[in-house]
Amino acid sequence: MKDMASDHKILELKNLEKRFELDKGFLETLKLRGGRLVREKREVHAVNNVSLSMERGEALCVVGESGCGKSTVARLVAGLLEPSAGEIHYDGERIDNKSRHEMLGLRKKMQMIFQNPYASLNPRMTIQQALEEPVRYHNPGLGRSGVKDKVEAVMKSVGVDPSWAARYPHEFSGGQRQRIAIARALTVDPEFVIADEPISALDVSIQAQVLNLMLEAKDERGLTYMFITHDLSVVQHFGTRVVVLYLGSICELADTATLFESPKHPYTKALLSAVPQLQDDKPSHIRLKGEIPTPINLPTGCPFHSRCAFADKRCMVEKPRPMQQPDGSLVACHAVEEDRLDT
Amino acid sequence: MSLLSVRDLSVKFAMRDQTVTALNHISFDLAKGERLGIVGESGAGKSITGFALMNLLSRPGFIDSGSIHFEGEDIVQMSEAQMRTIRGNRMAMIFQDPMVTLNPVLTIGQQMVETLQAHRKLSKAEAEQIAIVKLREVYIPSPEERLGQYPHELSGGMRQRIIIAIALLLDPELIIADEPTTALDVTIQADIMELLLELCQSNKVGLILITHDLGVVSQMTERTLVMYAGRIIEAGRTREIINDPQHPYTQGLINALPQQTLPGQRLKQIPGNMPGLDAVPVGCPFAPRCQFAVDHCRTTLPELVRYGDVEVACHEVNRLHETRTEDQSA
Ligand SMILES: Nc1ncnc2c1ncn2[C@@H]1O[C@H](COP(=O)(O)OP(=O)(O)OP(=O)(O)O)[C@@H](O)[C@H]1O
Ligand SMILES: Nc1ncnc2c1ncn2[C@@H]1O[C@H](COP(=O)(O)OP(=O)(O)OP(=O)(O)O)[C@@H](O)[C@H]1O
Ligand code: SF4
Ligand SMILES: [Mg+2]
Ligand SMILES: [Mg+2]
Repeated sequence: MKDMASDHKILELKNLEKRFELDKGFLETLKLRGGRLVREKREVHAVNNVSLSMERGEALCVVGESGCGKSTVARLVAGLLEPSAGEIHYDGERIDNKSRHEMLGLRKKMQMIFQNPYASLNPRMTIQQALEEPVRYHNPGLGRSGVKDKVEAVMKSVGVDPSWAARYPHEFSGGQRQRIAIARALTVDPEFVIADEPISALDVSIQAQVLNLMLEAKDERGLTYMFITHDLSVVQHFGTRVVVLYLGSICELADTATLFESPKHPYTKALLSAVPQLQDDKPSHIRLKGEIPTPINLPTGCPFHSRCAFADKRCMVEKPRPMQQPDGSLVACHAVEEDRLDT
Repeated sequence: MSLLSVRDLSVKFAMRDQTVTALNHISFDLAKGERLGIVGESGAGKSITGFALMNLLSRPGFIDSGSIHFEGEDIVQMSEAQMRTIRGNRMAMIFQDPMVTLNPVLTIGQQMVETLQAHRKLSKAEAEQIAIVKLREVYIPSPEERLGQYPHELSGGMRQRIIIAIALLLDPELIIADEPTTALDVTIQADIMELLLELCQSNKVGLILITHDLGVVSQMTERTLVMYAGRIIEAGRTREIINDPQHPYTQGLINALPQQTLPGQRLKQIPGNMPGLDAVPVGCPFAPRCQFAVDHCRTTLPELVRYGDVEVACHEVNRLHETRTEDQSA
């Protein structure tokens, strides 16, 4: 391994922004305003000024409600989308402005696992073919039998019988399929894995299989994970740190234990209180008021103010910046800063 | 009299080369206003149970035997015409996929009015008034305006609440909710569950809640059925089942949850997978995955029998219970 590299953060996001244009055609963007024709572009502000850095060997979990920009962050990091502004640095090197060709070397170090186990494998390829492809690609010198051995070893490592290699994805259960997709990502010995809701579609029993597999890879190979999920019990189990997003902005970033022991942002508190517990007799969550704003018409001020019980005038006009707290967490909330939240 | 009484219900699928059994002699009761959870892994037969209760199975699926008495009348014997007076009216289902319920080319208002007029003699204006009241009950803001909107114009959470409003439209006595919140965020899920709970309690509506989230079952239901490969393998009071599960499969489901293991430690997974319908083993269907299985388990099917306060289908329940109690006192 490169020891030299270890003083760099493995990943750094600097003021990352992603906007999607909604109206593609020129004519659609023309609007009549006060008797004058104006060109008005509507944009989705999917990721807004996100800055964070990751250490080697950590598992950073990204949480937040549907549409808050989790997958967009993942796809930006994986180079599948181009940022609208800001920078992404991998191992000390800026990567967001690289060409596809220049990114190829990085492909081997960084792997992505997608949300849907049905989408992550090609239905017309046998498992053997699906697993062989990355092995061949990343080990050009390896002979036929070398490739075969490696594929076999990978299948065994995820608990799938190697004699099933000639089967197609639809012949496997969801859990087996997702394990194979993860195995496929791990065949190339990546150092960084981006996993976008890899277990959300699976049963608890199968979730356990897949999470165990990912934990093993972390312990054995010192993998670094960016793990996206909306299941907070999984976060608590798997994550070393957690970042909570709301409408594309960071509300809170903290060590997992700190976040669960003392959540600070009003949204984080609501989120944690909403998780149904095994011992609960009835729901007892913090009920959020108001409707969910959309990232198309981003509210001014704090993105959470329309649903927040603590919002005041300042919250409506000034966007809170993430501020370091005494316990090391970062929180973007005026009420926390002004210490007017009763805990 | 129970609201619903299911006896020895079996559902089969006639496949090209063989007929497979999706539900195998299941029996249970539901009292008026009672809330029942159905849990189990994917493919266990939870949704098929819901479809059978609504008499909605279609080729290649069919009810092979058994009865479903709804307020004394057997749904299995009913004609489609009779069934239509019950379905959506006295008995409503919230489907796993919201777009099954909502027609994308009709406005919310059109769909609600249509549903109301199918069962009651109402003018359009009267029907709209009822629709508005129901939308307000599920906390839809400015319901008058929503009536003119199409499903795709609404957020996922709002769509799900509208589906609940439609299910409630005709004041049913029974609601079958199949994974009503899996597609939603925890904060919205929590709102919707609380809403369903309130509605069931205040109107004495019976609820069958199908989900694989044991936390949700714990909050929402009084009794729980655990299904495995088309059979009920454990049934009883929800609290009882979650705090002291008797069947090794139920124990496995609960132990596999991340909350049951220290952070970063290996989760306790259930080995293997649930068998497909065409490969259900003889004997106890769970035997190949069960760490407690003995020879007897691999040859003879365990019946669902009363054990303490619950019903369990496991030969070894007695022995396992005793070893657990000894372990605890040791
Ligand atoms: N290609 C695109 N074009 C336009 N808008 C997009 C595009 N991709 C994402 N968006 C929008 O960006 C926002 C963030 O989407 P993203 O997929 O990152 O959310 P997410 O947090 O992953 O949500 P989920 O939990 O539902 O997966 C959403 O409002 C989404 O509609
Ligand atoms: N149309 C069909 N033809 C053949 N088999 C079917 C059909 N529909 C369902 N099945 C089978 O019946 C079994 C039970 O399915 P069901 O949909 O009830 O599962 P479930 O418990 O609801 O699972 P999930 O949690 O994934 O929704 C499964 O093995 C399924 O493959
Ligand atoms: S900044 Fe204001 S609106 Fe935003 S979360 Fe804090 S208190 Fe609520
Ligand atoms: Mg996503
Ligand atoms: Mg189902």
